[in-house]
Amino acid sequence: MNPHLLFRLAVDAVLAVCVLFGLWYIALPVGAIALFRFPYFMELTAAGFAYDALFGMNASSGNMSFIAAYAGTLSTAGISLAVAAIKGSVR
Amino acid sequence: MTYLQPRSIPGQRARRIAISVILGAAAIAGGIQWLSPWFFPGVFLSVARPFWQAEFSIRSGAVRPPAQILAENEELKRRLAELETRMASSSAGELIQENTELKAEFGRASTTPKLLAAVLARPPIAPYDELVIDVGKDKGAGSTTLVYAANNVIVGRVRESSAHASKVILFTSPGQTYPVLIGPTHIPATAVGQGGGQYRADVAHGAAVHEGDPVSDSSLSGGALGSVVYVSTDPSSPFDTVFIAPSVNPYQLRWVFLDVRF
Repeated sequence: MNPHLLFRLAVDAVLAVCVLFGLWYIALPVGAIALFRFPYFMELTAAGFAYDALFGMNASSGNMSFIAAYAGTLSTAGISLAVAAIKGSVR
Repeated sequence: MTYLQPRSIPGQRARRIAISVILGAAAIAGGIQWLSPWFFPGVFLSVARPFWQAEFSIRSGAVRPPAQILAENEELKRRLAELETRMASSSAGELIQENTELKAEFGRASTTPKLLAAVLARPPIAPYDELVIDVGKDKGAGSTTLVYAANNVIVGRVRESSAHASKVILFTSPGQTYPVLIGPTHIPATAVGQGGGQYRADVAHGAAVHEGDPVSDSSLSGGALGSVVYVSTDPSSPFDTVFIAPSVNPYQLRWVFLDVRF
């Protein structure tokens, strides 16, 4: 198998474990680095969405604001867009 | 002779396709989330539950030698029997017995034991003062099911349930409220969650509330909720603010009990 694909799968596994056990402070830096390393690294945004599905998404019950309910999705999407802009300007 | 290289049409086309796919997937996910808000939480909970249960089993000592587990079981049984004997012969045991008999006479005896559930994820792993437990709709957990810790201490209610797991919102979560009785004179108040496992309640200025006063559940079971840790008094305000610490640390809960009758 392609070593680059293997490395990307390994990073995806690390992100999945971090989401499962709430280790967002590890997932975000790993994901930010992976965004620079790999093209179209949407796994980070998917991980943020999964984190919200597991622990957030409470906006419908009125207990938390939309931003808090989707904090994972919004933060990872924001990081992805920021890294994409930086990559576009330096490459 | 110079000529311009043709633009990298395949590369730009691939980029447009990739962006279209990403935006399309985001639109589909957003549409599903709008129409069925519990779809994705149910899917991801069913994926995460086996991993959380495995972690819970490991933390609970499931990988210890059987002989060690059996020895611990026997020791716990011996201590339980000793405590039950001591309770039955004490005045507290007589009061509990009388309370149970009185409730039975008035038709309020509980004949349904509470359902035990393991806490798979709790703060700070699960943010927003929530727990994830391994009991779902299959065992009768619903959106009005109350959740208790040991010794009948109420801690929260089920917020949403999938087939085999549920999310419990703690009453200490910001904005959550619960009616309570404060102090030996049972002053009624409403405990408001402050986050971080703490409550706040407002009582009339000059009410006989002091630090250390017990705070109990206002329901018929009358379980403990916590105790008063600080009373803030402002002479210009008609209310005093009472800060309440719960009897149990919700961040250390490993087992909870569900009252699936409601």
